[in-house]
Amino acid sequence: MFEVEVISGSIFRNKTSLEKVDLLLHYIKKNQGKVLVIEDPLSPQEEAMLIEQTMLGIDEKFKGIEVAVIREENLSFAEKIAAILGIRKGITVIGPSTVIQQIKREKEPQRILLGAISRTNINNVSSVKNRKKVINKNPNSGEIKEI
Amino acid sequence: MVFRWFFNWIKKIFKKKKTLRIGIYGPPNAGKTTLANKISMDWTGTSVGKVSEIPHETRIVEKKEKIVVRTGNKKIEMDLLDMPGIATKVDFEDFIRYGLSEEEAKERAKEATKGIIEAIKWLDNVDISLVVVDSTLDPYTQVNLTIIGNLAARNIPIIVVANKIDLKESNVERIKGAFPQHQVVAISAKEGKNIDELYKKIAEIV
Repeated sequence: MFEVEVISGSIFRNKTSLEKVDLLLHYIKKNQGKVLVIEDPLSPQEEAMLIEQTMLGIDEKFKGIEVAVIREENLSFAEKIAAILGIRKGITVIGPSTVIQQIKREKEPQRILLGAISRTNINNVSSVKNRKKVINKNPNSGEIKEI
Repeated sequence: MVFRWFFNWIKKIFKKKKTLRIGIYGPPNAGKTTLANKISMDWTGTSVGKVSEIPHETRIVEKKEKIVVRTGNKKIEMDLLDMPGIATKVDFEDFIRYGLSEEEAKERAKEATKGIIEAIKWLDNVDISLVVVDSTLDPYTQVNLTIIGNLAARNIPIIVVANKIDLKESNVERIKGAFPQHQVVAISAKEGKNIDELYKKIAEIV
């Protein structure tokens, strides 16, 4: 069984994009086995930066990440201005690829399905038993549900 | 973001480029090199890179310069850039499963990570992007969304290329549904199906 840690978006407050990405990767490497749900969506540029920094950190122990970002689409003008100012609604789900075997996304409503690798078989992907966990975020209420 | 948009707008007005840089993006094994080879073979008679079922065969940006494509009454001069497949994880053990030795697998993984970084850096330097997705697979993945989101944020025109339509599991409608705001062209790079339609779409953007 894997652990899910839900963290307030305030951990990103006053941080640059690179600082956000470094913080996420530091957390992931330090807490191998945990899946993080951060109440703040990374921007597409931050997602690309996250991939770059992940690649720089890959070695025999750290194989990479699985990540999914849910953000509101079809923003109104006011929401676009708010997004430019850094006020964004959504979540980022991230975990080490040695724990999350697969993240499947669904579009309407936006959902994330996690397929996790059993901890006892973490190094044997071909014989794992999958557990699945759905994280469902209501963009209006901000409520996060685990199913 | 506003400054970038303004800069691109000014650049478009004052600088009409003769040669377009067309970047072929996508996840590993979507058929990017097969498409690059098809385009290059059609117009220059030479290929761009090696194709393999082992992921991350393309680990450096492969460039084919000055390809001249003629479609309708238009002539498009392009530099074709076949990008390494973008992924969020690279595990050398995956390559061992394809029969590589541990040493070869580790070297391939190291080169693959560098290739992914290089592909991301090139996002700032392409004029048009072809995002190749495997039409037999679910296209709504974070990697595809990240690639398309970054290209869109840079105002780079995007054509989503739904590849592998020769396979019976192909589902082009699923791709159109995933990316309704972008043009989708269904092709088989391997069999050369519908490539003319892709040339036409590129010509419409130019």
